[in-house]
Amino acid sequence: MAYIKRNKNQWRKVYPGVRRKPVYEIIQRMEVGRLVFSNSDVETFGFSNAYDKEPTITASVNGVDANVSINCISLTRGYATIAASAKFTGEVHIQVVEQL
Amino acid sequence: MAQYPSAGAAKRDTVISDHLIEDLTTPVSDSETGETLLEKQHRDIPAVVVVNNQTNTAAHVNLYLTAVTNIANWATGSITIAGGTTALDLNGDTFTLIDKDTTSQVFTFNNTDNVVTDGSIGLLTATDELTIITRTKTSINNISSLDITAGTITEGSTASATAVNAIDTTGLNRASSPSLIQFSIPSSIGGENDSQVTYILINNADDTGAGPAAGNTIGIGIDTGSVTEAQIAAAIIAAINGTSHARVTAADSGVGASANGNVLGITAEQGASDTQITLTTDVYGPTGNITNGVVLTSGVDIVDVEDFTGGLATQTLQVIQDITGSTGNTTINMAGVTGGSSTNFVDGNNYGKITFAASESFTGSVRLRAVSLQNDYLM
Repeated sequence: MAYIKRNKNQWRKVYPGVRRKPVYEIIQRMEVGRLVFSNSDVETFGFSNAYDKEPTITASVNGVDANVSINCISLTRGYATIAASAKFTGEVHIQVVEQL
Repeated sequence: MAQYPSAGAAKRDTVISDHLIEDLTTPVSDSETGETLLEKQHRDIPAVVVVNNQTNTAAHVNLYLTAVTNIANWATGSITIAGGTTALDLNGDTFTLIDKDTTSQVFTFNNTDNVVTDGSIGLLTATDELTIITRTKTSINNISSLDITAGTITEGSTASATAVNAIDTTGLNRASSPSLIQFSIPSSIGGENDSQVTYILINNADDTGAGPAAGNTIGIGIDTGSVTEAQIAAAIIAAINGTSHARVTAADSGVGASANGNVLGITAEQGASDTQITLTTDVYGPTGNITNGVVLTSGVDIVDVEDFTGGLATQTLQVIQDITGSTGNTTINMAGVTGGSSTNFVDGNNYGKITFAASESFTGSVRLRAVSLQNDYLM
């Protein structure tokens, strides 16, 4: 009696011909970090994400004697440069949020 | 310069980061500092920024963080026994410690035994504040069911023992002399010898003190008929302090035999009048409270106060909750302990803390946003 042989290696999943409309979720990327100042007043924080345009950053100073004010003097898609009103030793905490 | 995390190469767009974000608001009341506890468990030290400083008192205040941790902390407190407190003062007094799990233990002082188990703090042989606080420490640490450890003992305010206006030379002169006084200053506070007292003999054998000087005896000569009581007092002060004086000769041998005499362990100075001398132990604390430290041996009685008193040392014992968490911030009530005071358990927290400072005092509220990376997902 004849019998049917099936090659298992040729099996494959067949998807339906009509595909559903994709629903995309937009993910707004962010990153956080700490920038070390060691008796300095200007430091640069390099981003880990590749942003399409300059992100928004917020920052605060952290240090026992860090009574300085800070400004972001340069912002690109790859980094932010933070300047302090005076040299100090401590950190600047940075939160980076992508602009959509 | 360093940054955390290091910048490295830009991530592929297929990496999705998962951040833990929490907003915290804390009030500040006429202060240059403030703090708030983290309420979520951050895997790394979060990046914290000041989002808003709402104040009407100092519009231009500059805020900066002073410390950020993501580690839970033990609550710590302290127990203090004031200087001068004695075992008799404390007899029957009690205080209670409560640990993080609300287990409480009553501790009771007594001066009838030396037992330091089951909440008893036996002080029968405790003669100073350090021994009292050390027994307290041992008793606390002997309660295994109480998750509190007594740790470091630190010394607070201190005072040296004194014999105020101990010597008064009124009535001592060439004709009335001699006067022989002795000093018993133990080596534990800097005295020269525990078994040999130091004498000072004042007589009219000469004007240099060489005549009355002998073994263990510092000599003071008052052969001049016009020598005043104040001048004799000045010579005694010099003899005790070991400073050069024309009327003073050091002991021939034994104690008091250094160049200018000198009764080691105490310092003399003029008392209420120029004939009176106040003596002070060189070391502070209760060990200087010497009974019969200065005594008249014979002759004109110029010793008015024999005992050194008032030596004290406040002692503080640090107590630490064994388990981290804010529920360890319990109360310590030492109101029922004579000479006792305390600081409640503080700084216990579950997930870490943010502290900040301002350029000037202000009243208002500070809103902080703490963010940390939790996971990276490959999409």
